[in-house]
Parts: sequence; C-alpha cells; structure tokens
Amino acid sequence: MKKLQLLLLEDLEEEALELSSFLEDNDYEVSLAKNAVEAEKLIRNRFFDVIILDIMINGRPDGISLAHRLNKEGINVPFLFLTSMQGREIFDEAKLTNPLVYLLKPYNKLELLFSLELAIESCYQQNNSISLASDNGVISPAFLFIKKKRSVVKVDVAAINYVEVKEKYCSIICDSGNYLIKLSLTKLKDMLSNPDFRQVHRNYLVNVKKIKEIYFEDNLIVLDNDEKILFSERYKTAFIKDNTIFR
Amino acid sequence: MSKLGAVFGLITILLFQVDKPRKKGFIERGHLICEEYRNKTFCKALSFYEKKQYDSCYAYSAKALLLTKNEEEVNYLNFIQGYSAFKKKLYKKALLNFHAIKDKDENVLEKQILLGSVYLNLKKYNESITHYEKALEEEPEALRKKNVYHNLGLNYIHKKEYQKAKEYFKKEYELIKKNDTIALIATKMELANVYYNQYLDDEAIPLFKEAYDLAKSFSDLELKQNSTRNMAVVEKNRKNYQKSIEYYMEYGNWKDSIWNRDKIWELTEKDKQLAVAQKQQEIVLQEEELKRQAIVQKSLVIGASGLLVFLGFLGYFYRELKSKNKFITQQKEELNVANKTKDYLFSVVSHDLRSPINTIKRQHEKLKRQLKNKEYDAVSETTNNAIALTESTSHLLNNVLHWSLEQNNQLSFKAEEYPLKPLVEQAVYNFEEIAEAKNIALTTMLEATILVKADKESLKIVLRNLLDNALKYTGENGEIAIKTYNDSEEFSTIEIKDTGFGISEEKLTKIKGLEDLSIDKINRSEGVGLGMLLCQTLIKKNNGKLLIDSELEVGTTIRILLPNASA
Repeated sequence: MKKLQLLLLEDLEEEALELSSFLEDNDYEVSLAKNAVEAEKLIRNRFFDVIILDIMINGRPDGISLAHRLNKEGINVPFLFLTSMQGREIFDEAKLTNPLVYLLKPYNKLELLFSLELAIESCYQQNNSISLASDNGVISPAFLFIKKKRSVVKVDVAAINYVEVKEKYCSIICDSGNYLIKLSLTKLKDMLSNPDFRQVHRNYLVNVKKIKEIYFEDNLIVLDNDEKILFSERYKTAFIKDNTIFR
Repeated sequence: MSKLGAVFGLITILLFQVDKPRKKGFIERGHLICEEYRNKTFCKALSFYEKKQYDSCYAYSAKALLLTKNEEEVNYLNFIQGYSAFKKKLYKKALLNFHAIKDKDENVLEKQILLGSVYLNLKKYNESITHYEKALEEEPEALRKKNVYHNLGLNYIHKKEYQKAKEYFKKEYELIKKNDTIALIATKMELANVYYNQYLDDEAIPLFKEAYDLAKSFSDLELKQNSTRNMAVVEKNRKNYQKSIEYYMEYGNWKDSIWNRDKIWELTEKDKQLAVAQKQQEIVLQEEELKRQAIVQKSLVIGASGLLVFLGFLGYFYRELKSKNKFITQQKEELNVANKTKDYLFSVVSHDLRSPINTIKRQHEKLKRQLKNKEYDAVSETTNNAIALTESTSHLLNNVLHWSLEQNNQLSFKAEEYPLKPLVEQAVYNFEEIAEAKNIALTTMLEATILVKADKESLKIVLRNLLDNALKYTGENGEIAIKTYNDSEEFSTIEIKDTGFGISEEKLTKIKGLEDLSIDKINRSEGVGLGMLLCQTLIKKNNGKLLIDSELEVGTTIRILLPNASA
C-alpha cells in the first residue's frame, strides 16, 4: 500500500502549512506550490494522484487558468478547487474547467478528506464507491485506490490476484483484502488495459504473474496463494495461443 | 323658255326608271361568283351592294379590285363599283368602271345601257344616243327596251330634235302595258312635251290633261306635282290665268306635301340623331360616373389599407411599449427585492453584528486585564466565551451571505448524487467540540447505503443551521441524536432529535409559515431568524421537505426529507 501524492496550490503560507500537516497526518504525501508557475513545474516533473487548487492566487484567479492549461494538455489528474469564492461568476468560470470537486471555505477536515475521495471517484467514473463504503475501491490504470480509515491509499495493480464478477460490478481480490469496484468486468478490463490481466472465465480475470500452476484437464488455475480459479474452455484456446510457454 | 324649264324638271325624275335591270339575275350571278372563288372582300362588297349601302360597296369593291385578277370577278366588281359611283353621282368614275368591263355576251347590253344613262346624266347626248342604240342592237326584253326608248326620247328632246323624240316616245308608248300607270303618265307627259315644244298645242294639251287626270287618281306625289305644274304652265301660256293660278296652287300643295314628307323624314332623322346624341351623352355621363366610382373605390381601398397599416404600426408600438413596461415592472420588482435585501443586510450589520463585535472587543480587553493581573484561571473562561461568540457571529455572517446570494440567484446550485452518511458526518464533526463542552451527548446512527440527490453546499448550510439550533436550545447534559434512514422509494430522511427546550406552538406555526415567506415579510423582532428561513428555502430548492415536531420542555424533532438518487 502506498500513500497518495498530492499537490497543493495555496498562496497563504499559514493555511498551506496547516492543511499539509493535516493531510500528512492522514497518510497523504503533500507537495506545496506557492504559485501557478511552481505548480506547473512540479506537475511536469512528478506524478500526482490529486491536485488541490486554490482559485485566487495572489489576487488573481490563477487556479482556474492552471486548470484550463491542464485540461488543454490532456493531463488526466483529478483536481479540486478550494475556495472561499461563492459567487456565481467565479463558480461558472471554474465550472468550464470541469472540476471534479468544488470545496467551499469554511470547510472542516472531514469535508476535505471526503472531497479527495469524490475527486478520485469522479476522475475514474466510479462515483459513490469509496465515498459510500470502505470496502469499495476505485481502479485506475496503474493503481487501485482503497479506503484506509478516513483516508485513501493506493495499491499497485500488480498486487491484484484476480478479479471476480459480483452481480453488476466486480470484486478485486488482493492479499490485503477484497474490494468492490463499481464497474462491469468489460469496463474494468478497458480501464486496466494491461496484458497481465487475462480473462479465463466468464466471471474471472486473472493476473498472469500470480499464477502458480494450471491444470488444463481439470480446468483449474492455482495462484501463488493457493487460491483456485475456474478456467473455462471458451477462454482456454485464446489463452494458450497467446502464451507460448504452455504449449 | 318656261317650257324648257318644265322639260328639265322632268328629266331628272324620269332618269331613275332606267337601271334596275335584271336585278335578280345579276345578284344571283354575284352569289355564284362569291361561292366559286370564296373571295371575302368580294362577298362583302356584294352584300353591301345588296343592302344598297353604296359607300361601303364602293370601298370594298375598290379593295377587291386591287386584290383579284379573275376576269369574271373584275367585270362584276366594275359593275357594282361603277353603279355605286353612279349612285353617288361620281359619273366620271362610273364611266371608267363601265368602260373597263369586257364586252362579253352577258355584259354588253348591261354595259351599253349603263353607259347611256351615265352620258345622259353628263348631258353628252350624242354619246348617250350611240350607247343606247348599241344596246338596242342587243335586243333587250320589252321592259328594258321601253326604258331605252324613253331615254333616247329624252336625249332627242334635249337636242331639240323633236321629231325623233316623238318617234321614240311613241315606240315606248306602244310597249307600255295598260296597267303600268306610272309609265303611262310619264310617257304621256313626255309626248305632250314633245308636241308642246313643236307648238302643237292641240295635240299637247289633251295629253297634259290626260296625264294630269291620271296622276290625280294616283298616289305618286312627284307625278302629281309635275303634271300639275305642266298644266299650270300650259294654262298660263294659254293666258288662262285663273286656271293657271289654281294649278299653281295645287302644284304648291303637292310641293308642300313632298316637302313635308321630306321634312318629316328629315325631322325624324334629326330626332333620331338627337336621341342618339342624347343617348351617347348619357353613356358618356355614365362612363364618367363609373370612372368616378372606380376612383372612389380605389381611394377607399387605398385609404382602408393605409388605415390597416397604421393600425398595425399602432398595435406594434403598443405591444412594444407594453413589453417594455412589463420589463420595467419586472425590473422594478427585482429592484424592490434587492433593496429589501440591502435594507435587511444593513439592519443585520447595525444590530446583530455590532453588538457581538463589541462584546468580543470587551472580552479581549478583559483578557488583557486578567493577564496583567495574572488571573490565569479566569483567562481560560474568557477565551472560551470569546471563541463561542466569534463562532456564532461567523455563523450569522455566513447565513447573511448565503441568504443574500440566494436572493440574488448568485448561489451556485448543482444537485448531484451523494452518499448521505459522509455529508451528515462532516456536518456533525463541526459540533463535536461544542457538544463536548456543553456536555451534550451527540450520537449518530447513519445508514451507509443511502444515496441522495442534492446540492452539497446548500445541504451543508441547512445541516449546520439545524445542528446549531439544536445545540443552542439544548441544556447541559442533554442529548442530540442524529439518524438517517430510508423510509420510502422517493425520500430518505435525516432526523435530528434533541431534548431541548422545545419550540412553542405559536412559534412553530410561524416557522411553518416561512415556506412562502419573502424577506420583506420577516419581522425580526418576532424571533424567527434568518437561519430557519434559509433552511426552508434551500430544502425546497433541493426538492425536499422540512418537518418539525416539538413539545415544550421535551424536545424538538426535525426531519429533513431528501429525494433519493434515482439509481
């Protein structure tokens, strides 16, 4: 499990420090930027899971213009606005950047944590998952986001053993636990688009790296942790064709 | 001389006997030609000839002559044109026409007779005699022969060769049938003239007398006149003046009656012309009238359409004005609301803000004093008071801000699906410390699966206000229980139940009445604050319901019903 990397754009030092210490207390790693230029530089050099933007930076709506630039460059990072500006004008302008969340000051700490959850959910189109229940998760191409107490942490997708269909949605099974993802298996496969994950059954998607043994005759896959997964005839042929080792 | 005068008078009258020959046969021949060649102009000329409209006949036959080369047609056309010209006394033209006629069997007789009569009229007696003699060689039937004899006789009278004249008249006389009275009278008179001119009075006078008597019993006025005149001249020459005068008088009578006949005819003609003229004038008048009516109609139409356009413009401007007025009225109402909001804000600033800020100021001064006097125990209490006061003032400020934004439609509002539990948790989180300080048990029982459709920020404002009230009106050691549950397909409920002082019936009614209350109706002295008004308004905006149950000294239960997420 890894901590989320956050970028905080805030021009008021006191608030920035208070906020970052609070976030760090809640298992987030925070990078601070005092202005838009600094923030942009950081975004180019490092990976961030969520970006928190104050709208008014040194008296100018730099937060909004930065969001515009991010959208333009197609940088798909969830960002949320943090502001005391409640007027419709600013709000409408901010709305044009499609912010995932818009958090108004004064807010309490729970609201901030909640907003981070909302931002992640809506960025990967899995609304009302981790914000609704702690056994839900949000999947992104590289990470699985899950709740840990009040905060969100991430797990590398490589740590996933397999995925099982659960009614409308899917359950992800890791060593650390099971998480419900509010996506269909097809959509989840698209989201991952990772060759390590192979469908072996109508209901199963397996991380190939986690396979210990395959019993073709018995239609059974045994994983490293000795879990057994059904292997259906339908997917076997394609599986063998793509994985020459097994021939 | 006087005898000669009488003779000349006779010539003109008698001449017309000459040429209505073979009329029937002649016209039939014309019709045959017309049918054979189908020349329209020819047929037209012929039909005019038939109708005796000689002017038209002349014109059409001239036209037809230009167009046709057919000999038969040309001959025929020369006949009718020549005859028309003759009728119109254009003798020279008639001569040209008649001379142009080719000498063919069926034409020769006709041509000679016509030429004879034309020359007679032109007083070229010798030529006339030659043509008539040629005509006689063609041996015409009796009636024509008689006429030819008559005219030959006339020619000789004019040439004063009375002997010859007498011969011809006698020949004619022999040919006249007994019952042809007119011809008989005429011939008798001519003969008498011949005798008289030869001074053979004994022969002449009985003949005159005979003619006169015959004419008397006959209806031809001109014959009567002539015979009477002849008698008068004869009597005068006989110096029998008494008789002569009687004859003259009779002659005068006949002349008058002729004149009358002509005159009457002329008058009727005049009358006719007058009537026609009058009719034409009437027609012209009526046309004028019609024209005037048309003009009146036209001007009416133009006027009406002008009026219509004018009315249209009027209507357009009226509507424009009305919409402008409406716009102005709307603006006025908006301005009124804005003004009321502004007034309200002023009053809030001047009352509700000034006093707490003053209190805070006093608290700080007290703090300073206490620190100076090293009363450290008291410092903590003063600080807590100051914080509480600041908190409530900030709360009030927020409400005022939200209210004014809402009133100006400036509050951002976006209803989305949210899990209810964290929203309530977050709201409650703010009050945990205060509750602890007042030793109030703040418990929550929140269902994790509820999803509602709401605007997050406005729901936050509502929850904050309601929780603030609950804490404010619940005494030490009280209890506040917050529950969420799903009670219907449509709604989920947030329940805030306190063991506070409760709200009086009276006040409750007022709060419930806030649903459709605007800012100008708020009477702040009545104690219903902005908070409740804001709650009512925002819940309504979220398509939810706010229910309040309260019992004095027992507590208050507030339920917020929010629409479930449709998923």
